[in-house]
Amino acid sequence: MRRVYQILGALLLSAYALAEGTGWELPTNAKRGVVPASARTAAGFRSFTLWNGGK
Amino acid sequence: MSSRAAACPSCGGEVLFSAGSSLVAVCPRCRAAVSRKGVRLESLGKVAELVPTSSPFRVGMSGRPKQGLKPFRIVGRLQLSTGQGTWDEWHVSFEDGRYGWLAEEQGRFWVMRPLPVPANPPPPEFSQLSPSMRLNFGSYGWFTVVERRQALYASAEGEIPFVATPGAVFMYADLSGADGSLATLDYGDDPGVDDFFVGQRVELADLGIDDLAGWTERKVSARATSLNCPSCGGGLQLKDPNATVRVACVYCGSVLATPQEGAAADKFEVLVRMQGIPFRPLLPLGTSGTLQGHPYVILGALQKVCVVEGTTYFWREYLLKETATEAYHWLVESNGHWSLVAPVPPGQVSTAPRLAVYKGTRYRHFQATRAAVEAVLGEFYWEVAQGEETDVSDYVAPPRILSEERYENEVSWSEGTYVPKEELEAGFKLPKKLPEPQGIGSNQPWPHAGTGRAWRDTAFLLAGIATLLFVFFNIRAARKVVFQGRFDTVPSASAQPYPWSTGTGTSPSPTPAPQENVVLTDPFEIPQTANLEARIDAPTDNTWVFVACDLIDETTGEVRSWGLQSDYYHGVDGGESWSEGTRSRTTYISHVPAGRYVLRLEPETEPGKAPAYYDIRLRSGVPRTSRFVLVLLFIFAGPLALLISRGRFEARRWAESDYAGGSSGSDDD
Repeated sequence: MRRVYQILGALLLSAYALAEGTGWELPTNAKRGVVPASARTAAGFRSFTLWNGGK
Repeated sequence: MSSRAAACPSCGGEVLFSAGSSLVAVCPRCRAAVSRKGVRLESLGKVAELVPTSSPFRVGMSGRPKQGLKPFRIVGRLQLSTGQGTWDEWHVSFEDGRYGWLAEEQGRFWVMRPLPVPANPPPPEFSQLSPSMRLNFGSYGWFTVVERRQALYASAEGEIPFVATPGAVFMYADLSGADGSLATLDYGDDPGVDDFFVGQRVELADLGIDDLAGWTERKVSARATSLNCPSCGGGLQLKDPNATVRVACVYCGSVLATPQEGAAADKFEVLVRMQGIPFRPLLPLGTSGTLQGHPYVILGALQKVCVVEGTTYFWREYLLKETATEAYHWLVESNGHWSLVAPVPPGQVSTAPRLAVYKGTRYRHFQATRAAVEAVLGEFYWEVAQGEETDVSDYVAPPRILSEERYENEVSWSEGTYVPKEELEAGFKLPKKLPEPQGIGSNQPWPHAGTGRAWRDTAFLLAGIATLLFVFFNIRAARKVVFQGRFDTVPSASAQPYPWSTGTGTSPSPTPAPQENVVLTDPFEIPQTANLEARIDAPTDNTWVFVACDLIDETTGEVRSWGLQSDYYHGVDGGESWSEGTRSRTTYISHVPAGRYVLRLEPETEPGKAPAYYDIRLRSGVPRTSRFVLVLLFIFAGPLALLISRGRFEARRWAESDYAGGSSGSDDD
């Protein structure tokens, strides 16, 4: 059991170091998407119909 | 005085005073005790016949100890009796002319030397002594009173260094030193101390007595090893015939006494006649086995009882003899929990309220009770009797237990160690498995003690590494402000769409009707792949503003969307002011790659109550203390679970103590 705990602890620290190094965060309400190339304009970015916003 | 031969004043036979210290010699022909004062000899009376004992010594033996003692010769033997037991003390004359005593007790041997009676401070009078009393003898050290009794000079042979009148009664107290030494205060027949002896324990082999070669096969001719029970006729085999003084028949339970002086060796007297055995011992009496590397034979069993708050509790104590050293130990069984117990010098035990300390280990008081012997079976080296009562105090430091037993004139301490029943089954090759333990034993070790220690040590190591990582990443963190700005919540009448330059070569599409309050920032750089901290601040006052944020990667078109809200309400209600909400909030966006970005902001607010503006700030590479805390929680979750388990285990243990409902402790190592 001690060995298992040590291995789990090492994995946890590795995940922690990776998260800190890459800026990984716990999942939040942030959404992700891609703006089509054709809409990559100021007007497209500003358009209400294109976005649901951050809501 | 010099050595000399003289004529016995009773029978004229030769009486030899070979040691200069000898004041009395027993005539070998008529057994008169002859004292000498200068050249004058006087008969003190006839000395009774010696009672056969299991002592390995004989008058005339010589010893050449390996170290610490001068060569000596055994010149005399004094046999003493308290009425409950008889023992020998051997007068030895050392090569340098001094004398001492060779004493033995249950397979342990002591060499006692006379010392000046302590004077600063002097010992108390005999009547002022009590068992467990601690005495300070100055340069001699601290001693604990173990026993205070009266005894008589029952018999003697050879030469004695003082005038001992046969049958005379004397008072004495045995003491135990803090260094494990033994001391005796000899009061004679008056309240004041006549003599003081201090001794150290010695191993028989270290005495260098050649004549002991046949001791392991010795037979005391007056004792039989087998007999028929005079009550039921059952055949009994004695495993310790030389020391046994009481036998409880394993067939009928009758209690027998060893033959009196002059009686036939196999004629045991029936003290208590029984019709059946009072209990069935779990360990077969007479069985030999090995426990913790030591060979033992099981001699007898006691069933003991105590009453606590109206409830009767039973337990059994099995008398063992270690066959190699002839020392007596005990196996104590209660509710299926076993402990191997051995006596310890009382002088080495110090006590405080609810605490006892022995050899640096602290034992916590567990319970105190008055125990009585309810039933006996097998062989015993003392005159055990049903109904015999002692005051017992148990102190625990699992897996060990320290017990004090107080009789009227005597106190003894013993230390026990918890023994798993499987070890007993294997050691004594028992035909049947022992009953499973019930509940938690007073000194039962927590079963996960080893795991707990290992996990604790590992947890601290992991936490240390996690802390180093936290410090490293905190020092290394960029915390760079990549964007910040202040924006109107409600756009002014002259608001214009922001100019836009994609830098990508694409043609701008036709511009639809602009949303009044949507903001599109100038492009900005995020220099490294890291998390992104987004913060809003707004002067909200009993209102709110919500800003939908979209972070657009100019190169890939990837969008990350989130919301930020500022709200703050306050008032006075019934004379008490209140507030809720917060004007500033922060959120974190995961793993934003380095690149060029545009931020789209679309605020929403309560019509007519909008704050004048809101501030948005973006920072890249912000270390998170919460992640570190989460890692520590995970690290310590395992040890914490074990700690809770241990706490519950200890609570169950102490629920059986005198402190039920109060104390629980961390006694395990």
